[in-house]
Amino acid sequence: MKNPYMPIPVRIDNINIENDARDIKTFRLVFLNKEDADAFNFMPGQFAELSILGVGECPIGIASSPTEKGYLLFTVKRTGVVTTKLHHAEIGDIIGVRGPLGNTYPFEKMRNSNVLIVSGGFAFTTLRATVKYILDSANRFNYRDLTVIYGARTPGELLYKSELWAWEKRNDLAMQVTVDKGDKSWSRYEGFVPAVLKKIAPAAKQTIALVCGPPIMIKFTLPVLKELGFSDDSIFLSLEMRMKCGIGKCGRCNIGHKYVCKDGPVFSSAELQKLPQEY
Amino acid sequence: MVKRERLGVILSESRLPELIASLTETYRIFGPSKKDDGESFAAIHKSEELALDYGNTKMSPKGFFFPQTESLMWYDSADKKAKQDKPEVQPTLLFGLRPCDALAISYLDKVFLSNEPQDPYYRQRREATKIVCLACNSPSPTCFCTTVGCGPDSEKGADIMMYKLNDRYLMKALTPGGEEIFTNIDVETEPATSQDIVEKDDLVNKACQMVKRFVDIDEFKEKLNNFQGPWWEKLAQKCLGCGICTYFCPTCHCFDVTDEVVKQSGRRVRTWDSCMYPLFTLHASGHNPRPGIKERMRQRIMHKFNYAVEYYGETFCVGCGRCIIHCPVNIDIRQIIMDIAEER
Ligand SMILES: Cc1cc2nc3c(=O)[nH]c(=O)nc-3n(C[C@H](O)[C@H](O)[C@H](O)COP(=O)(O)OP(=O)(O)OC[C@H]3O[C@@H](n4cnc5c(N)ncnc54)[C@H](O)[C@@H]3O)c2cc1C
Ligand code: SF4
Ligand code: SF4
Ligand code: FES
Repeated sequence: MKNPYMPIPVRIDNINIENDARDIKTFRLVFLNKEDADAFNFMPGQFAELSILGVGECPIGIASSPTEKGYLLFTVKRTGVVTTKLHHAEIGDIIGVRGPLGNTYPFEKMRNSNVLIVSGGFAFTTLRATVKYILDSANRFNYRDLTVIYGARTPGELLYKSELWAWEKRNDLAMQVTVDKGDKSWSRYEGFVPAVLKKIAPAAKQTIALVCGPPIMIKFTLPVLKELGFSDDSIFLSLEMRMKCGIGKCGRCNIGHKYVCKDGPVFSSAELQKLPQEY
Repeated sequence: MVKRERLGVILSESRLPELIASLTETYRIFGPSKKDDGESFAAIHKSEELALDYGNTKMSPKGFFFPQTESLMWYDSADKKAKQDKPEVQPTLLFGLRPCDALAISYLDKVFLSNEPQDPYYRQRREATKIVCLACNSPSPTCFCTTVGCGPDSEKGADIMMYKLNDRYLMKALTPGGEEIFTNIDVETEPATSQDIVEKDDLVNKACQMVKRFVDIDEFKEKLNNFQGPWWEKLAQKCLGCGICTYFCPTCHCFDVTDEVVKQSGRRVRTWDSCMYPLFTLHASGHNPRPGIKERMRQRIMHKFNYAVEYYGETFCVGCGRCIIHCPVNIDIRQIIMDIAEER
């Protein structure tokens, strides 16, 4: 019987420092065993527990798309015990991954629809995976217009910069990047994500909106989406709660009768309205 | 071998030593132990060690399947590989368990076994264990099982049900596991008669009358649909947030997972945890979705009487009364239920 608590061994294959503050790093992980790699079937939106023996585990969204073969990406901000230890890790170190955990973005619902992605800060990770997935030539025709609005405090805090600039040049998605405050060389949007969303005003008809960001961004984004005509069952959010088991047993991550680790982390705005506002 | 009888079998109390002796040939037995005035389940080797006239044990038996601390895996820092810890399991009998505790175990089964993925540690222990339940003839003043869908003769979770009739035991196998126990023992019994069943029903009725039904539980549950109900503030005032109620509760199953390192080797352990503690939900960012006792008290009650009903189709309180007995500031869950039910 498979033991869901046992971490799968992986090797850190690459580490990329994402931001000027140097507190966000992207780790590229490669499975030590081929069977483990083959068994790890996931879709964007899911997460995994990163495990360091002797230190602990922490839940991190999977930042790579299943279309990127041979490795997994996790973008981790240094916050507490485990994430700090991870930040001290080096290429070649062996750590563990436990997953994939949780549900995915609503790819069935997104099929033949426009997709609008609204994201801020370092929460862009699983949405980066989503963009990557949709842009893959094997999938692109399943979805209509793809619009991505992504913001950070400053240009130096944007994740995946070279990828963003490459996406800007493509014509199969509309990539809109904004920062709260630009520097001298900044020529794109300036302002908060909800304001940019309002300005761009993507059509709500036949569009699914995926939203992930800090609570304050979400708070001001939802009313704008409503104004634009998005219904609650066409808006999807990815939530965070403190977690341990990641499999709906330890009782830690519930919002009402839903476990964020198992029934989430992705919920529609309609679902969330039926749950207590306790997150 | 004890033959299967339609109404169950009758075992004379004088044969209890033989029954236990026979059972010990196949199973490790744990039961309410005289050593501790029936306050705890301990290993039983002879029937004289059993205290079957106990009210209920202080600690619930959940630790047999879900220990307060257990090692999930170990490793030494040299090879950095996690090795799975396997609980050592032997065929085990919990003998003389109260119906409320057996029901609680059936709820834990839902959490750890029905809710995929299964928990392998729980499963190994659970599969090796059978439950012989003893109906209650004299419930304690803190029992309120009948209010929450349990009762002195509740059978769910039991493999064998036992009733004490004066100087005899009426025993019924309820599951294939129970039948298996019967085939494994060699002790003289008689088929139960309809007269025995009348006697049993009479005792059960008396016991039910002793357990006070004090409130309309449906009205209470209905009120809980209002998450923002005005009652939580007041109910939480006295609570210290010590979490004792959750440690004693037979259905509470929240746990923490932590790493322990001693020199070169370490282990990942899980330990009971409690929703009554502020750290339980504290994010690394400092944000806490349940910052105060009010929110945490609400979580504990809502989880049992509202969320679990939605998630598992069961009310995760069996009315055992342990949280009432052990709360240092005398918070009585029956009073909480009444206060909320009666709030207009
Ligand atoms: C579904 C999900 C996806 C996430 N994705 C990312 C991501 O892509 N990148 C990223 O940098 N962070 C992400 N987080 C947040 C990240 O899990 C926390 O920052 C991390 O757990 C902090 O762990 P720590 O040991 O460094 O902190 P400590 O404060 O030392 O944490 C101790 C323990 O608390 C728990 N914990 C604390 N805060 C959180 C939290 N916010 N969420 C969950 N558990 C917590 C963990 O179990 C951790 O082991 C995600 C969280 C969730 C729930
Ligand atoms: S909540 Fe109290 S009465 Fe109910 S099962 Fe738990 S300990 Fe027993
Ligand atoms: S035992 Fe009593 S004081 Fe302690 S957390 Fe439970 S209700 Fe509060
Ligand atoms: S993290 Fe354990 S139940 Fe969700």
